[in-house]
Amino acid sequence: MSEPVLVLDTLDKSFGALRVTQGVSLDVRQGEVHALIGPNGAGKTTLVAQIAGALRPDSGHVRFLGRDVTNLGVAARARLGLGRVFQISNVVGSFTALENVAVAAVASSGDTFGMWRPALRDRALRAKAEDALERVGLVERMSSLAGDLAHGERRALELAMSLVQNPKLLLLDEPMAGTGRGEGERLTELLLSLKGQVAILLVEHDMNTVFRLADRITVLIYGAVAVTGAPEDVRGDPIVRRAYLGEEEAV
Amino acid sequence: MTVAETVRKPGGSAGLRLALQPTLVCVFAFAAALAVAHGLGSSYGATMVGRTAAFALAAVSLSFLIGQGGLVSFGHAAPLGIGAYAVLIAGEYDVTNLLVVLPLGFASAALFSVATGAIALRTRGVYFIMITLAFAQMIFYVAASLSAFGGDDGMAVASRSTLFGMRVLKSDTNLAILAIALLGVALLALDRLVASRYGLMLRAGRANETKLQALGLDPYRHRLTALAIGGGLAGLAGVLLANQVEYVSPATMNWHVSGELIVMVVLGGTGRLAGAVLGAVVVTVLDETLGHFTEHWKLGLGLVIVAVVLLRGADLKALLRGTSA
Amino acid sequence: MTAVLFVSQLLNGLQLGVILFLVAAGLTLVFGVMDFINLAHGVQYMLGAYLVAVLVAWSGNFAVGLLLGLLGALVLGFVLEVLVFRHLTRRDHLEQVLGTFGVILIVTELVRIVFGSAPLAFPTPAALAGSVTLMPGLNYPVWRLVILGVGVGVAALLWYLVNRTRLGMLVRAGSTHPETVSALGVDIDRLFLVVFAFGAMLAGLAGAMAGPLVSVEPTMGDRILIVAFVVVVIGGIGSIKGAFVSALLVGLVDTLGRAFAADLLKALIGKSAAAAAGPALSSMLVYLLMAVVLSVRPSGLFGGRTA
Repeated sequence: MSEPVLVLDTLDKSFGALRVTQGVSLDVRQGEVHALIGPNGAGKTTLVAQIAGALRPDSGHVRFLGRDVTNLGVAARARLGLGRVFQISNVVGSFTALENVAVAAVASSGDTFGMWRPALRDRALRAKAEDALERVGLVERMSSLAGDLAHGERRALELAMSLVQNPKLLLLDEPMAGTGRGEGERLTELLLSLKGQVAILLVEHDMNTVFRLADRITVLIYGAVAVTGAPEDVRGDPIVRRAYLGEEEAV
Repeated sequence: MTVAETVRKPGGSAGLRLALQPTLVCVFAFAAALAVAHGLGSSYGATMVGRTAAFALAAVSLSFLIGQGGLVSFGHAAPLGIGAYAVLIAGEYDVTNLLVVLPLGFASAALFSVATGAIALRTRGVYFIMITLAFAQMIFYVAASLSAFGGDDGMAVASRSTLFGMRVLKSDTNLAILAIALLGVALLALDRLVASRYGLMLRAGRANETKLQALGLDPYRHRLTALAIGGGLAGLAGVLLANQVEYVSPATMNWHVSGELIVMVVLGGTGRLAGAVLGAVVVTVLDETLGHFTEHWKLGLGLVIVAVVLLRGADLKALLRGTSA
Repeated sequence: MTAVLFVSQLLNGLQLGVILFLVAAGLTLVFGVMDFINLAHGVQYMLGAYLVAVLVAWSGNFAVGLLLGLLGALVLGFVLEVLVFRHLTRRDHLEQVLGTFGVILIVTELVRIVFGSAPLAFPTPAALAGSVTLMPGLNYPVWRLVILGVGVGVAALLWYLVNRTRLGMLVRAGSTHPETVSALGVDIDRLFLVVFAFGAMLAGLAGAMAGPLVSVEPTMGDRILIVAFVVVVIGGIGSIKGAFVSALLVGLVDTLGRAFAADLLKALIGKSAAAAAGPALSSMLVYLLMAVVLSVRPSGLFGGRTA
């Protein structure tokens, strides 16, 4: 078994007296979907920020692809292959879907200073972008402004922007949030289709999705890891049932 | 609407032609105005056309920074004035060849923009606005302290620029032709630039920097480059203005000039580069017409600006949102 | 002799510093509370000088003129806020720049129409017109000492208001965490109105204090405005303490630089080179100071919020 894609090693983070991350350790293996769940206020958002590089932990280490990235910023981690889909859809509303994916493709291409050839008339770039849109089922909408897309479509677009960069790990922050039932179903199908191709760390509230997709689940409670294990083990865990699943509609 | 939006249409070449249209319209309109002035034998008319085209070039370069790069510089009079001083200072050393003076004006203005931009770009929002304003004021005072070059009062340039000794700019018509040509080339080049990979990154950084960072790109160097390009083009405009007035003084760098350039950009709409040309025409024409009636024409300009901002506020906002959401 | 010169320049620098502080205090709070960039703040400074000059001449009594003038500056602040500025607070910075620039053009031109472009007479009040001997060989104008006193007094008052009153607490919180304040149910627009008008009055006070020392003319606000921006940037947006420290720093650097930079240069690079470079360098010093501070701390000396 090769080295995990992502390793969190006893991360700690406090805001004043509030310890929002307490000795969190977990790993995401190659090709695995690892779900991170926890009740509101469990510190998931803070943890995601530390993984993405937007926040530095007070202590502990983040290893990505065998490399210590604890001191790297967002852009540097992204360049290494950390793809991120935001909790609130984060696309360029005034750009078309195709342009958005082209932005992602160019940003990771190493040629961001080409000043003469129109970017969208670059056949290879265009093909790459269209291919990514195809994978998420948005190719018919490529000329629509991202701002005009439906919520679920924007999620798919963000996913396409990540995919076009061939990420080694996808960090998905509540992809189902705010999606309608049909949209959510399509999105889940889409994620299922990616399973095995790329490692995914899935932060999600929707238990249906989590149990359908995840190979392993980590439960975060009060900023600390309560349990990590296979879905069936987590489902049966008494601590988890009490602290978390009990509150919501369990599966 | 951005240039890229027209480019994106299927069959890109037709789209590109569409994108070129406003540029061609601008150039033709200026050329026609110049032809009329020349036909009437009006040297005043030729002067006005040339002057407007020079200001349009400065406004376009600022529009590139604001509309495409999201860099609201309130110090654009500085590179403009540096270009003008390049003519004056080079002239004092008997260097008048356009092929030297134009690159010199571009390079010195670009250098200033990069040096100050490297610091200003460490900040955002109101900080950026204030810092660009402050650095422009710094160069204003520096110019005013150059007693060898006229100090506060400025001084007349030795002669208009030449081409290997030929006094090609002696006629106001020729100077206007040069101004229109530079404006046209700048518009075409910037259109190209905006649609390029570099332009795509620059615009994405303006619209959504967080996302661009998450996609692995820190747009700092792209922005610095934009400042160099925008500053350099303003420097060219300064070279034109110095040739036209044949006089250079710190007043060229007065911060009110920076303000008026912003007015031109916003009046014409920040979304399109050619819009700034329209803004420049409106402000220059207002200056000329109102200025003849009353010495207090700035009152009129101020009222127009406030009215535009307050009344058309909603539209403007939608317009700005349209490219920044 | 040099000691006397140095002390008097030191006092001049501090006095410029407190004037800058009076202008920058309002600016920094308005920036902080509303993220609002107000180019027209220099206009308030100019209006303060004009109002007080006119009202002192009219009433024949300096105290009465000053009081009425400050009241007038406060009222004008309210009026401008209601007419223009409040409609700009939630706009793009670009529109704020544009709108407030328009206000500068209008007000400056109106003042020019009413009073003309020539400087207005603003005599130092007779009782404070003399000078006192501070040390052997140093006769220092009383009025400049008064400015220092007033500046320090206002700084103390502001410190008290901002740190010890409920309003001040809201302003402080608003300048660093505006969302929190509006979440507390505070009407942030009312808060802005109060802060804005108060800031306008302080700028007016600065104009009135500076009136006898500078020439009172329509564009007098322009120069001070940009230096006040430098003060705000160095001190950190929203910080009164930062504005105070940085205003004194800028005042000292500017004044001492102009007085001594040429001499220093002469020692370093020789007479003729210094004569050429001295004036340029001394006029750049304040901006270079800003550049250095920003290179080390992009959000200013006391700026909490990242820029």
